[in-house]
Amino acid sequence: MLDRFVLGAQLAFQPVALLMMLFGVAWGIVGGALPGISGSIAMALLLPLTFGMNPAVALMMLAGVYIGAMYGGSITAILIRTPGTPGAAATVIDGYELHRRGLSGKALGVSLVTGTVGGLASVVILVAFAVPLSKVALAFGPPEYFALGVFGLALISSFVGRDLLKGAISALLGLIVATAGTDPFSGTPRFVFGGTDLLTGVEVAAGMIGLFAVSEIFYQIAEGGAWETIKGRFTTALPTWAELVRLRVAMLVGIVMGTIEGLLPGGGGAIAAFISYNEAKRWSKHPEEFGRGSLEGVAAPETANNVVTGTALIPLLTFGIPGSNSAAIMLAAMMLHGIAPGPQLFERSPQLVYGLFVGLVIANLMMLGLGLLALRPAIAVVNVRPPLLFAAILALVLVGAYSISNRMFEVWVVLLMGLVGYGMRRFGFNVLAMVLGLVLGFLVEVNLRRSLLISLGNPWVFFTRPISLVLLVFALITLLWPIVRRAREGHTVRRAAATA
Amino acid sequence: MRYGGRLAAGVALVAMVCGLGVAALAQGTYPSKPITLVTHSSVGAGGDIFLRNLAKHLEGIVPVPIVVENRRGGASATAVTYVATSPPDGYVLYGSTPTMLQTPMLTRTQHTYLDLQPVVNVFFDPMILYVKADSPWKTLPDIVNAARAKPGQIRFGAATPGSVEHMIAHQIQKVAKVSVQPVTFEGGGDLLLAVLGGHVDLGVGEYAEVAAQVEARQVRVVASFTKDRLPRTTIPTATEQGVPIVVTKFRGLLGPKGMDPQAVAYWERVVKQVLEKPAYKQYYESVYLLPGYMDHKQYRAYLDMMNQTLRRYLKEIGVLK
Repeated sequence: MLDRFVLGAQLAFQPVALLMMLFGVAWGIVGGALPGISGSIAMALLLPLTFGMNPAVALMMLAGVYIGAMYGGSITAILIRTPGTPGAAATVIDGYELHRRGLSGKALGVSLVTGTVGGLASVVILVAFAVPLSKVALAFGPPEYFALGVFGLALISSFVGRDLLKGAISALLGLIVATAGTDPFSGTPRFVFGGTDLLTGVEVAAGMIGLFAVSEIFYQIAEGGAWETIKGRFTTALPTWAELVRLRVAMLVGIVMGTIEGLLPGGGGAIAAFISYNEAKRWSKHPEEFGRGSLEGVAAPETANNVVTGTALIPLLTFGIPGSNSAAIMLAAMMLHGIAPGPQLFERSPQLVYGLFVGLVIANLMMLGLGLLALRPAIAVVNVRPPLLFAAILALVLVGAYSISNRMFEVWVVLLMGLVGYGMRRFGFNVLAMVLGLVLGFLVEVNLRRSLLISLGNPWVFFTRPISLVLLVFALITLLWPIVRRAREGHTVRRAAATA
Repeated sequence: MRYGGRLAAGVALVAMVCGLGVAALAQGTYPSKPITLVTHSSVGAGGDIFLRNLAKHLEGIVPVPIVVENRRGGASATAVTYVATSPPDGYVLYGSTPTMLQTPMLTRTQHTYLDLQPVVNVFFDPMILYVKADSPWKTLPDIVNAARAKPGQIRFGAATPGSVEHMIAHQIQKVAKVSVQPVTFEGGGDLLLAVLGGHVDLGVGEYAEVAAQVEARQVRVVASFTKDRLPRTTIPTATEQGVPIVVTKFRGLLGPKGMDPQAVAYWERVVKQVLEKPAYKQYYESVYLLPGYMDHKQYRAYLDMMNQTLRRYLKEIGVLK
């Protein structure tokens, strides 16, 4: 084992490997921060460069991009309410509130440090438990995926506050949008309005950019622009040790959720980030701060999405099946070099595997360093007069939307979603719940129908399989928790009033 | 990807401007400027990897840069329209897969494969049927018998209806006169996990998708749907086992309709040449692609045949009226 790490380290500490990783991480941060350019797209753009490289170096560079993009995505989530990557969607909630209170530096610092902790933790998990954890991936069949999706949807009750009905309608809206495209079981087009543009459905990234960023711009313009520039020097302090200790529960939650999602193909960080956000709130000593600018609310999702960078490699390296879109690009890089990942890879190319492990540690530390350098300029860039800022953001997100598929269609989707989002906020509906519906719609639908095919039509399949049952019970608890708590609070208040 | 492509094209352009004399000399002969290969696949997906590797190994054979461009969207409709409306001078080609035939059948598209000029086919992707290693079924007749004993209860994993994988599941039912429960998955990887996890009983996919698991003895390949046995394997074909089904995916190149015959002939020549190149051979054998050279005439006939087969199957499963 140790000699393999030495072998890997020899490869990873070569100047060319270090240089490529540094470039990869920097590129990842920039790409992640550009809305529409997710981690996987940023990696894909570099794929042609990997042709001439040693395959291990190519994988290290791509891993660097992946890691950097996770932090990059949180920069825009915090500063302009636009998740640069789907994994940063949950970071928007408290990160942007912190920014509005002038605590942008703090929020970014927490994102950076907890992301690094998550990234390093995931390397440890990857190295120590890759093989046993790959069994978990096998235990997840369609009913379990369905239950996980339902668990995710149940989170709306904790996001929407008192108006559960409007929250449910918002989530439903997201689910409806997610059904457009080709029916996955019959192959027939569905809600495509006769054209070809919608055949592959509405891109989640486009929906998210519209609902978050563009609706915010419309809202700010219509409401007279409450966006203020930060006066004086802005704090860029990293979280203190005491603060980090306080964030330990949030980070732990993020590590657990990120590990699970990384193992499951089709995830990619967004679900883990949302669930960790909610669980961190449940276990927090200050749940009332969530939604109003809680550091824990940034730490949990940002830990979780960085954990996915390592654990998504577990199904890739053990089965040759990518655990996320980004891992799929790494698979492509391996295939381009004629390397078949799978059970034999550890024996056949130990240098490649252990080089990648060491590279992941280095890349995470590089992210910490580069992230620190990027902090101050990033805040300075958005600290301009609102009209200038709005124009710049709009230009940025529209270019980002175009780049998703290199066509105008996504630009129209983004603008339309911006209008929808604005209308929803205007009338008290919940944009976040709609995003959740949009992200989870396909997962829930496909796995519901697939489970029923596998069980030959027996609906009890969801309750007779232990993992699926447990997840559904969690979902129920999550759904009812805020309602029960509110009822209890109401009760104590009344009792206090009565005794007074 | 396109940025990468643009960049490469830009570099190439600068290089050409610098060497003006050379460029002038090359004018009039094909090819004299960068060639774009278009795919509807996202980067890293099968169609994309095919073109990128082809482009890489054509270096040294084709004297101009070859750029791969991903035009996603519309389940190949965007890419087909882009190529069909490009100038037919041989500088924009489309990397084909069966998807380009299937999409226009399911929905109204601006262009179909009939608006394209078949140029040359390069590979076949062999399709196989596989089970988990501890499955009691060792041969195709085992599976057919099991399906007879329990009609509609064998969980048969395949890709979306309309796909070649799904068509095979359908044809098995028709040819062997059995009924199974098809369970669809988005990708070959998802399906493989479901077979390994015991969530479905068997799967149909490309050999390359399961090769690593075969080697690790986690998965057993029961039959291939090829004409002959796959090279370097002992897997019997479905036909040998009494279920005569031969279906392969194809990967080739098409240009805009009316493409310059000189350019068509050029591509026929270089593809033949590159398929013989040892480094390329080593690569495509390692990912279990079968060389499937067809000139433009054979390719047109083949595509017409595939188109009819797909249409008949879509009618039979009730997707098409």
